[in-house]
Parts: sequence; C-alpha cells; structure tokens
Amino acid sequence: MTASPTTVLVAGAAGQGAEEGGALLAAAAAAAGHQVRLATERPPSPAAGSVLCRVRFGPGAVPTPFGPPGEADGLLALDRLEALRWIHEVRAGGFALVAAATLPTPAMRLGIAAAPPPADVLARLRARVPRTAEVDALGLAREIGCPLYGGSVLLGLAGPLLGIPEPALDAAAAAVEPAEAAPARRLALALGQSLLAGLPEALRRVPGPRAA
Amino acid sequence: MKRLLTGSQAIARGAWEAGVHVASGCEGEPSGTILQTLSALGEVAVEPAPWERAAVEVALGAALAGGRGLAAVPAGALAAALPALDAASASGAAGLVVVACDDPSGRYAPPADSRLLAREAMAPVVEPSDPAECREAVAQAFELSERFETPVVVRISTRLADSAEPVEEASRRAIPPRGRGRDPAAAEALEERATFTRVRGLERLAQLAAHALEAPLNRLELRSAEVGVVTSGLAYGMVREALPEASVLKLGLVHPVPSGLLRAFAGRVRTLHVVEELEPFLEAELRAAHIACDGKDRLGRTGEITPATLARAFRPGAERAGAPEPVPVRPPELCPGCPYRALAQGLKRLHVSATVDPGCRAFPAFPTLGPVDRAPGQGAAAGVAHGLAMALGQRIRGRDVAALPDGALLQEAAGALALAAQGQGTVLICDVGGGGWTGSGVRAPGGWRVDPASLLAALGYASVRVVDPLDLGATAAVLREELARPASSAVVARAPCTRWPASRRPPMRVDGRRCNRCGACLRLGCPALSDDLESVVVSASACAGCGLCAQVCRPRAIEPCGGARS
Repeated sequence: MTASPTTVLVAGAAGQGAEEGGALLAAAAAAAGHQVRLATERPPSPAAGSVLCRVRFGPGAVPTPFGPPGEADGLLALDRLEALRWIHEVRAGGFALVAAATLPTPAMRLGIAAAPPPADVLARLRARVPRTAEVDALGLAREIGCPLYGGSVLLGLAGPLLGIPEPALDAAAAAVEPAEAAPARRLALALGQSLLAGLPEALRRVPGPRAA
Repeated sequence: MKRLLTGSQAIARGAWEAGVHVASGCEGEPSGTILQTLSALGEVAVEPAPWERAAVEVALGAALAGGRGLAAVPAGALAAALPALDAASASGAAGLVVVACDDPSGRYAPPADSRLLAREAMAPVVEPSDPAECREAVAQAFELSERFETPVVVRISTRLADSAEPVEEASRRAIPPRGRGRDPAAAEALEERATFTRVRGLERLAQLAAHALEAPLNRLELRSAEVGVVTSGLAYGMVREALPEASVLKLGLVHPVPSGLLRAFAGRVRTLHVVEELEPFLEAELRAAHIACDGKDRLGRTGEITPATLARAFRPGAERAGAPEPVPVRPPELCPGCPYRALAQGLKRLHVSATVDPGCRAFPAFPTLGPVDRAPGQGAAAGVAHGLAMALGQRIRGRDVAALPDGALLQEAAGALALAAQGQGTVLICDVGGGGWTGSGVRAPGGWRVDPASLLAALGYASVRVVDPLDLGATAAVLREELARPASSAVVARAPCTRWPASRRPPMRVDGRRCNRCGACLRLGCPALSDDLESVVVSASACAGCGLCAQVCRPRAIEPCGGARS
C-alpha cells in the first residue's frame, strides 16, 4: 500500500500573501524530501480577485498538483470568504486554518452587500470540515511589519499537522524569493508554531497517511 | 541541484542552458517572466518587443545569423505573430524556437489553440507536460529546429506556466553561432518562391513525421489493454491522476502527428480516448486515419482539463466534492490610483461612448466605471472606431472616442491610426509611461519607448493634446474641446501606472465629520475606499494618493494625509 499525496490549498485575496504561503509550503515539502507540485491560480487583475495555490506532495510520484475533487487534506485561508469559497474541496476529515479577517468585496465596499457574520462563516466551514480553526494570522503578521507573511504564520501552525519538520520549514524560508525576507518569514513561522498549543485537541491530532 | 521553478521560469532556464543567444518577447505572461528570468541569468541578449510579430522577427534574425533565437509571446497571442512564423518557416530558419501559450480557461486571454496556427505555418510543435519537461523541451526544440531547418513552436498553457516543481538545473552550454546561412528560397524567382517554400515545408513535415515515430519526446506507457488514452501537455498529469490504470500514449511532439504511432497504440487497447485541451487536434488526426476513438464528445472544447473534469467524464456520479458554498464574488478591479479609472470617469462625465483596447486587463470588465461600449481586441480600437464613424457619420460625431494604451500605438500606427487621422474622430491614448500595455505587466528590463504625442502628430492628427488624467476637470475640458473639433484629434493622457512605487503619493484620508456618505467616491470603484456605516474610510496601505476621490467629493471631506493638496 502506498500513501497518496497530501493536497493543501492556500487561499486568499490578491495582495494577501497566498502566493508567498503556497511557495513556502512547496519549498518546505521539497526540503523534507517529498516530491512536490504547486499550481497557482491568480486573478486577471493585480488589484483584486481570489488567489489559490494548490500544493501537492508526498514521498512517491505526484502526477499533478490537482488532487481528486473534494479530497484535499488541508486548507490555509488568509480570508474568511476565501475559506468559504474553497472549503468544498477539502475532505471532511481534513482541516482548515482560517485567518480572522474578511477583505470586503466591491459590493461590500459600496454598502450594497454585507459581509456574512464571522460566526456564521465559521459555522458553515465547520459543518463541512469539523477540524476548522480561526486564528489571528494577519494580526501576527502585522506585528512583524508585513501582512504578506500571514501565509507563513498559517504554515508555521500547519507544519506539524502536515508532518513537515521544523528544519524543512526553516530551509524553505531562505529558498523562496526574495531571500532577504528569510528572517521575517522565520519569525512568522515561529509565531504560527506558537499558536499550536491553543488549537483544539482534535485539530492538533496529526492524521495518518491515507491509502492511495 | 534542484530549484522550485514555474513552467515559465523552467522554459527560460532551459533556453539559457541550451545556449540561446538572443531572446525577444512581449510584456505579459508567460513571455514577461521568460524574458525577466533570462535577463537575470545573463549572457543572453534580451530584447523586449512592442508586439508579437516583432519578437519573432528579432529571434528569426538571430537564427538566420547562425545563432539560437528564442521568441516568447503572451497567452493567446501567437496569431499576432503568424506572419513572422510563416516567414521563418519559409526561410527554413534553423535555431529558432517560439514559445506560445494557450489559455483554455479563457481567464487571461482568448482560448485559441496554437497548434492550429503552427500547423498553418508548417512548424512542428513540442508540448511539455510539467516544468521539468519545459526545461528539457526547449533544448529538444532547438535541436529539432537545427536538424530540420524549421522554426519550432513550444506550446504550453497558462496553467503550466504558473505550475511549479523542483527542477534540476545544469550549466550553460557554449553553442558557437553557426555562421550566417543562405536561404535557398531567396535564389528563386519571386513567382516561384511560394511554391518552392511550400514544397520544402511539406518535405520537412514528412521527415519530421518519420522522426516522430522514434522520437523520445513521444512516450508509450502500456498498462491496461482495456483502456488507452492519447494525450499531451498538462493533461497528461491529469490523466495519470484520474485514470491511473489506463495505457497512455503521451505525445511530446504533437505536430506533425505520428499517425503510425497512433495506429500501433490503438491496436493494443480495446477502447481509445483522446484527452486534449481546446480543439480536437489529435482526435481529428485519429479520425482521419479511421481509428475509432472518443474525445471532444466526452470532454467538450472549452475549459481546462482537471481531475474533476475527467472524473465527471469517465466516472459520472463518483465525484466526492460537494457543491461550493455560495460566496460573494471578487471580480477583477483596477488598482487604486489607476489612470484608467480617471479616464473612464472623465468619459462618463461627458456621456461619451468608447471603443477600447483592453490595455489593463480589467478595463473592459468595468462598464459601470465608464461608457466602454466595445472592446474588439488588442490593437483594434482605432480602426473599429474609424469604421464606426464612417458608417454613422454625424449621428456619432463628437460622442465616441477610440481609447487605447500606449502599448497599442505601434500595433496600430502603420495602419488604423493613420487611417483614422484622415477622419474627424478623437483617439485617446492612455500613456502609462512604460512603453507597454500597463505597468503591472511582467516585463524584462529595458526595451522600447515611443513618445505618443510625436508619433500621433507624425501620423497626421490635426490636434494632439497632452493631459494629466488624474486632473478630472482639466481632462474633461480638453476632451470636450477635442471632441468638438471638426478634424482628427488625439488626447494623450499621461500618468504612470500605480504599480510602480515611484508613482505613489501620500494616501488620502476622510474627515468623518464632513462625510455625508453620498457614495460618489465609492462609485469610482477604488479598492482603497469602503463604507464603514459611519463614514467612508480610506485604507492607507492600499491608497496610492491619486486624489480622484477628493475631486468627486462635494462636501470636501477627503484630503491627503498631511494636509490639503495645493
């Protein structure tokens, strides 16, 4: 029996750092000795739109960054709405880590639509994937001077859940361009790791490999 | 050593390792990233080009000089380079590789199929399946080009350009230029040259088809005798994921199609499927050879192929993903401070309709911002608006403009703009100051620069005015005057793209006591502005300080941080 690849989605809105988070996870998985593939979907305009990185890794062959539909193992979302947008791609036994932030859409900015209440979003997410937690990833990223590192905070938290060892995360911090950002990324990863103790017990449990 | 590279970066890496001498390409993706990467690697003469045809011609010149030339065109844009590809094919260019990119999703570019265009130009097509193959494909394409004296098209997709994996890196090979060759077609009399080049092209394709039977680019993976799949490109990985038990004929050289290989594979499986994105290119070859198969009747001709689409096509009902949650959409938007927003606002005030070139990709997506009536395609606005004016005459005079970015000038200059200069219409040029479509497009350092005002004057426009589009009042006044002019006129709206940090000014702020939440500023559609139920607020981190919101604010509640602008 071989373990099937692990699929993780990193989601956010343009400018929130989802691409940074996806590249960091891919580099960390490679540093951990896995085969890895990454696919990035970015919006046609740089100012707004949804960004999604699909990272797929495992010890064996990874034919494509796309896993079977509805079978992703984890979701790291930098925005509540983006978590909601992609939660259907996560299997019920997977996990979702969501930054406690909602970037308004154009309709919300105009006041003609309201953002769904955070508690409602969390309930909808948990109805799909019970192992869902909300963390202040962007607040922590702002503490180190750049909200773009929210993805790194989430990854620091998710690393142990995905079985990615700390040295691999550390190596990835320097492997992703720009390399000068490595110290800030390491700080963000450490801040993320510090959140682990606060997660519910069910979420901290590291799942075993799934059969292919 | 391996490094995480995207498909675009791997193409550049492969070209660099293959000793490419000259690379040319246009702003946009994946061409911008390819040129940027080559520029950073060094040792390659990199030439950003204003349009696709020029990029291929520059690379063709390098190839005809005996070097290795690479041209990269943006997604969906090979058609614009077809005359140059035809010329390269007719010249028997050795050492020329053209990187084309298709966008089956249609999100970034019209979903055209480059294989059809390459076939039209009698050029072989190499199609890699992942970033590692992208790197190898360029070297293989150069070898094919030199062996068969033909331009070779390397076809990727936007999805592959943005996919990444760890890719092995090697050092650069020193490829000495072969020396300038002589095109045998040049010796033919003009009236016989076309026949000569066509016969030579057909002979070359026949030789390539024979080569394709043995080429390592094409790979047979025998598993089940029940199900066989013919596939290529990124779809190969999707097939391996979704149909792991199927036998696969993976084509890396997709044109000319190796019919013998297809026939042999078909004979070894009970059921044959063709999995390819966009047009039924391989399927048509199979059907022409009377080989039973299915393809587009099962998968359709639009959209990307993913494990989900394959699951729906081959295992209906087995898909485990639930329906997506209803979530508010995030449409593409213009950046804070974008000069296009200001221009659209100015046109809206004057109740003028516009025929636009899709300069910034978000422009046509926002008809509510301004009166964008038609967006016929890049490089087409001036000609279409001129034709419109010829047909409608006085009924439209003074009430329609052709709006195009500075990047479109050279595409249109020789033809449509010169024609329009003979009429009585007004063209509006959005000059973002970078010699490109938009400052946000990925581009290599350096490149061309044209002064739109000088060019338009040289083309014969009776009046050419330069305005700052971020000054709404002055822009509207100039536009009003030029629209009323009984001769051709041009307005150059000059303001830098806000993606360049140097163009950013101190952010604006809202005085909550004065704000009456009338919504005039919010209707500009600026991502930096939002309504927090008590007053409008400005995101200081997002605001580019263009001041457009302050100009539309009647209660004068918006001003720059640090005090009012003089």
